[in-house]
Amino acid sequence: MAVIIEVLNKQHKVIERHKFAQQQVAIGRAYDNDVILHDKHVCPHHAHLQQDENGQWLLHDLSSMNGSFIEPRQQVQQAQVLRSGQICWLGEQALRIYDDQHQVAPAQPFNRIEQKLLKLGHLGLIATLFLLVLLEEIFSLWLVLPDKQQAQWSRSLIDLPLMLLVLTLWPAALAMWSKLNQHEARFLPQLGITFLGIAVMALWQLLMTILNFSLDGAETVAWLRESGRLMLIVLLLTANFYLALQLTVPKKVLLATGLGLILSLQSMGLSLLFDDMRRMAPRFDSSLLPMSFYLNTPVSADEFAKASDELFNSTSAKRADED
Amino acid sequence: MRALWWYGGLWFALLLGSANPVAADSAEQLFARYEPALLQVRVLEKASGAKASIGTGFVLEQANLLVTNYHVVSEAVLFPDKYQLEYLAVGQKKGQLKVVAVDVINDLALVSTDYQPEQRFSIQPERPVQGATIYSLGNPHDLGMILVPGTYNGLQKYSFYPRIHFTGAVNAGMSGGPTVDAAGKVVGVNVASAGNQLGFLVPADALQALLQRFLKDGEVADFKQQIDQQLVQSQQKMFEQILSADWQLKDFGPGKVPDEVVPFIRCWGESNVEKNKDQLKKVAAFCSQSEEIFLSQQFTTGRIEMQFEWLHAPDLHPLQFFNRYQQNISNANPDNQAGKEDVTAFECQHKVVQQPNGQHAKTIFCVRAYRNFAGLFDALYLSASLDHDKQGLISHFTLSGVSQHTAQAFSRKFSEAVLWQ
Repeated sequence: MAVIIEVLNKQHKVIERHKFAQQQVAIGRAYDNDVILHDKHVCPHHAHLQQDENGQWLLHDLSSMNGSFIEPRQQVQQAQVLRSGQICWLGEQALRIYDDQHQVAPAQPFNRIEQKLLKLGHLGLIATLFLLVLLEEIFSLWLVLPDKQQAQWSRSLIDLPLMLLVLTLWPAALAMWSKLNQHEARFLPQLGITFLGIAVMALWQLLMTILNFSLDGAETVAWLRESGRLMLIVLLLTANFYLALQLTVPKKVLLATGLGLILSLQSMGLSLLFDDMRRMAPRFDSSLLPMSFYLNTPVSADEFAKASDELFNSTSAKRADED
Repeated sequence: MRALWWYGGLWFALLLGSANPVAADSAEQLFARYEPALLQVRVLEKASGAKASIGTGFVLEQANLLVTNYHVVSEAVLFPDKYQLEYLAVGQKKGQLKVVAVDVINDLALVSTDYQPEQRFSIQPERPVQGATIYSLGNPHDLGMILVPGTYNGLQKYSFYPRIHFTGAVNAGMSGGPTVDAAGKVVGVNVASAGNQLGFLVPADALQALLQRFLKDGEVADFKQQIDQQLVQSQQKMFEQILSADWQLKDFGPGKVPDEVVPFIRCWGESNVEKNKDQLKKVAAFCSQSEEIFLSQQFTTGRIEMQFEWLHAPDLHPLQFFNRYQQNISNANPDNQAGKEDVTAFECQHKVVQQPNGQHAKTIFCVRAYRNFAGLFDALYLSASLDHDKQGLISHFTLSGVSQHTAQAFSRKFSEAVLWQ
């Protein structure tokens, strides 16, 4: 019966895997061993594995300087029986021992969502999204900047690549994390997902600006805008985490929702704080767009005047309120 | 702004020498005769016993009554638990005071006192002739009682509230003191200063009216109710005049807007059209009735303000223009001072309104109610025309201390008056 020895790093990730058909395997730092280790605390001839007549594998410590241990951190005195899958340490070097009859997990089917998300790593798509986000930024600059001030224009334009670079930090961080944990960065798909999220968010903002003007700053639009924004953030984060994290799907969604809520609540909390400071100033919707963007039916001057009765009644009713 | 009025001039009262010898002689006699009837009125904080504010008061010949300004004693009227009143007479004599009647519109208060000087002030029923020398008495900056001679220059021309224009220095602390004619009779009560040699007095007839009412009705039980009544009546009188006036319009950009619709509303204007730098051309006009009614140190009312702005930007794209246009209406504030204890929060409505002539305008109307005075509100109106791509007209007004009926009637007249081609 063959034995499989996995050499593990400090995070217990496999860095080498050996398979031996013989009955005895020598392990140590010297070059005449079967498994040659690098760790400086391992003795040249540290230990060997020996199969007994029952087919069980025993770890023999060869009176090493730093000792040998098996899970859970139990020092090996001379020899110790190992179970398949058990971890042992020679000095600080961790090893995992399997016999070749050890059960492995069943094969996983391709994940369809993951496949779709990976397609977002297409270079052409990323370039298009990049361009879209860039155009959106230039549009918002064009809206506010006076064209006579060339210097201000060029300064703002120089800032744009920097902004795009900052936006790529997030997918880069995710890729780094996933590279460390599962040997797979998936940077391009993460970049695609992030820029798609940003582009959709900008589009949503634009749509809501028009809707807000069209519906005279109705409260429902504000709610729709905020809940839509939260949903987009959660969706974006879920997609990011889908590729980057080794968690079950409900856990990924939960994490994304939690993070999304924290982000939105933070901005809401900030606005509440700000709100209290200028509570005495009237709050109203000041959105203005050309009349062609207005989809609602305008009210008549008489209807507007009549509706103002409600303001007088409502504020009168609050005269005695404490706040 | 208010502080500027009260603390208007830094120099004061060295005018005795410049008057002619005859006036100086009678001024000396006047001062000697009446000084005992002048008191310093002090508002003391009960907890600390420290002076919160000071003013001047004078004893009337009637029924142990002292006259001063409402703004001198307002804290003691509105917060009797926190503040008390005290007088300081010649010879450092001290005693208690109690407010018995107020007139917030004319900034007057009647106060009862146990102080009984031999010589007291009486009210002059006749108005002085223009140019007559009159003498203002008071205790500026807590420096001691003084006499300031000056000239009676009739009633203030563009004021809704009758005020005597006195050419002479009225300084902080002299508020509430009398101004007397050569015979020593009260022609007015010191109330405000607008800087060097420009003082304002409440005419004696307002004092006479308050005194008559007090002698008839007696002491007031609920000052807030009385003040409420005075505010309601005063705004009614003012707006009757404004609403019944035939509003004169003036050309404003491609449209027409109201001008000085009544004598007590004054207008100014400015523009940046000549400047080549700004792509957004602005023409602005500003009208106001800027005399406030003082209610407390945190709360004033009674102002009317109208503002018009014509914006145009032929070189900008409509979307660029509307972005700037929106910024111009995104901040609007009431122009009177009020705290959380005085008023509710503003509530607003904002809609695109179609005027009878087919024009469209985003219109915003906000209201807040007075907590202590039933039926009074501050109102704010803002309207931005929407029918042009590269130009727009913003019309705006704020009213303070008005009834619902007044606010709505003014709003209607205002929005109909603003015309736009």
